Amino acid sequence: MLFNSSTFLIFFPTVFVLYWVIPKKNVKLQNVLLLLASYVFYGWWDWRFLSLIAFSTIVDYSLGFLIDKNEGKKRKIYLICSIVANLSLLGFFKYFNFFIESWVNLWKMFGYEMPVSTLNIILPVGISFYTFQTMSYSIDVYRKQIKPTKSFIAFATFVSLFPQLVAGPIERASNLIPQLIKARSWSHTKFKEGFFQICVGFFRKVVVADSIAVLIDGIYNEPDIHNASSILMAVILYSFQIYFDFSGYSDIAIGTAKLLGFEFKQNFNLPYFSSSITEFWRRWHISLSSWLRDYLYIPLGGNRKGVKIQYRNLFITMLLGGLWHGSSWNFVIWGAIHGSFLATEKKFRLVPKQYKLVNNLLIFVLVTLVWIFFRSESFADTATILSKLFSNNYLMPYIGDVNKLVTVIWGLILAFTLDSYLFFNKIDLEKIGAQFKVFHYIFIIVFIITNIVLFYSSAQNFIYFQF
Amino acid sequence: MKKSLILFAAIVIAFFMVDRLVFLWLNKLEQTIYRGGTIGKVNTFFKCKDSVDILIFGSSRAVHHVNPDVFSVPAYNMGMDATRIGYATALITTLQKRDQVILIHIDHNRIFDETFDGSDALSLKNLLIKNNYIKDFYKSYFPSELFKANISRMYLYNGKVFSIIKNKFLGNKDTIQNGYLPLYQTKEQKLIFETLLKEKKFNINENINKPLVVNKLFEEFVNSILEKASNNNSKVIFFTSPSLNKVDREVEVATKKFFVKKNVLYYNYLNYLDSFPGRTIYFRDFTHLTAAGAETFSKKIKEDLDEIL
Repeated sequence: MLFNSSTFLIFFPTVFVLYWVIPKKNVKLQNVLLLLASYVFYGWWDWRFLSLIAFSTIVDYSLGFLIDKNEGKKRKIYLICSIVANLSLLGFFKYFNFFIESWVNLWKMFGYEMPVSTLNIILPVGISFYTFQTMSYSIDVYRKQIKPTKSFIAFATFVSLFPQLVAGPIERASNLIPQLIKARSWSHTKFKEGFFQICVGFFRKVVVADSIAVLIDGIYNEPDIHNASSILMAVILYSFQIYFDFSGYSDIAIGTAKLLGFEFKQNFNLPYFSSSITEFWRRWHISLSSWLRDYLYIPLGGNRKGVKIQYRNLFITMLLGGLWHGSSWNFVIWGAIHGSFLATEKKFRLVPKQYKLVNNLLIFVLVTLVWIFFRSESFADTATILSKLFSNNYLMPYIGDVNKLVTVIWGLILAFTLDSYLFFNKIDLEKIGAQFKVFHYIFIIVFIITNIVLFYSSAQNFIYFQF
Repeated sequence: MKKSLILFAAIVIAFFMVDRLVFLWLNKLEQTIYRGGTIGKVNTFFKCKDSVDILIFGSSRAVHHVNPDVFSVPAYNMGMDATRIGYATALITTLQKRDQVILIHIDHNRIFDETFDGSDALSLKNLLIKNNYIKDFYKSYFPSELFKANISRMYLYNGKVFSIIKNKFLGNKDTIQNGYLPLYQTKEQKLIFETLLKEKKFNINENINKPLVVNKLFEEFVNSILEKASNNNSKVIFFTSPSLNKVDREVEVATKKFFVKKNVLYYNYLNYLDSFPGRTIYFRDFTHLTAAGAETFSKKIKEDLDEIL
């Protein structure tokens, strides 16, 4: 089920009313409702894959206790069981064909044809998110940062809670499970914040991101027939598309959770206002970057074992972070490039501190160029795009639908105005809704919804659904 | 929670007020526009649909390929980019004049496209509350759109706002053109096309899955068109214009069989320009003709129409 669909617009109000009708003391019943609703939400796409979520839930719930009850070697073994179980699920459904094809292609380079075929495996939506979420639970129990949850319903709801199930944020057990166990009260402040963030999220996704997609998909799908200007336009606009698509989804998820009384962690914090790649990764997809930092980078040694090991750790973390996004060498290269940037920044400052604006622009340009690897359909397309960008074939760009271009410009003006306001006033989007007085609040909300109704593009999948 | 409910109610009321005001403003602007593709061309169509003898419908391969001026009777090309038979069917339901010739362009891959859902007709939703025929069409095929229109009137202008404003304030002339839009190639486009031709990137059976199954909705739309034509004593002719992308014999036969079963004329001009020397000069890209190609093709259609009418 997509957030930007008629089905969700019926589903959520129904769940919302039923949820708050339940007396707040009856936390268990509220959680049962959320669990059922979450399974319906996920099963709407393909009910068969509910078994995977259920499997992941049962495994980590049971192993949580076993980890907690034991010490030493046994404790470690149970942790390894959890990690192996989750990574096996992920590895099979997401990477099986990738590894087979890569292996076959490697031998092909030496002239040897391997008689191996790939399987027709469907990638379950959200598998990268919920497996990471359950793994973090097991690891936190192992590290004694949290105790295992006694309530199976609360744990199952933690794993499958529908606002964040299919595209994050990746919530930590230490944040979400305590909220699931205690009673939730209605908060007018949370309502204002949540509803505002949902509206902004929808605007970012269905007006800005989806309109950009209409303009540039054709260019990215066939770069060889487009000139350098069209390519440049597509490359820059894609930076905005992926940001508004993903942050829009996170906004809707966080806002929806707030309307149910939950506080999710911030997932995007104006990443294109960053003045370094390091800062970019503190602002972009925060739940994933912090997960990689806490469960991969730091266990590898972080920066505690010397500069060379630190570079290695950064590189490995970003390489695997790239691979997390998709089973393609394009994503691996994307991650590796970011790893190289991060390592370089540990040693050098690319632009002196006082030239902040130049820094910001440079970081935006670097990030935008690297997104090419992320978006391209193949290596050949990446090579075509890069060679055209650095050619002198800059003629009139291909516009296609002029209406859409104007919609994109209008959407970007509004979205950038809001982001600039948040940045220069140091306010989080998660909190700004509650700061408006009633009249201003109504005016802004109606303004946003009017723009959504007039300018939205038809429902397209969220980009991060494919991960 | 009471405070939140009151705030929510206030938002809903404010939204309804703004919604109706914006709708009234856009509706007023829309009525005076006769240029541009989205609104203007449809307004022009409604002005002339019952005064012409020949109407042409279809996608970009209709609007850019058939020049109505070749016909010796009044004709209008209501082809529209990015539309398919859904759009055409909705407009055809509004025809009142009798004894017209209705030419409808179709592509083979559209007939057997299992994913076709008629959503190209949704671009006419701004007519939903103004035209009873369109309203009936939506009632039959897109009932949820009526529901959405009752909640938000300005929803009917989704995706059309800038087009309305642009065409209104760019100086609007009340001219009835013939609807045909010839395509010309820039030097750059010609170079790119020649490169692609050298690489021989033609497609065969693009987006056609086998076994060939006629899309159910497509068939319903064809039936609806034939019924309307029968009521008006009008003649319907389906046709496919020339293309460098081809289909195999099986697809051609299945398409012909479909229209024979419906007892309606179908002309397959897909390969018409193949025998012309230097045929690629008539093409702007693999599926669209240049103005020269369109003129040549239009004359052929006229010849064939003259024979049967």
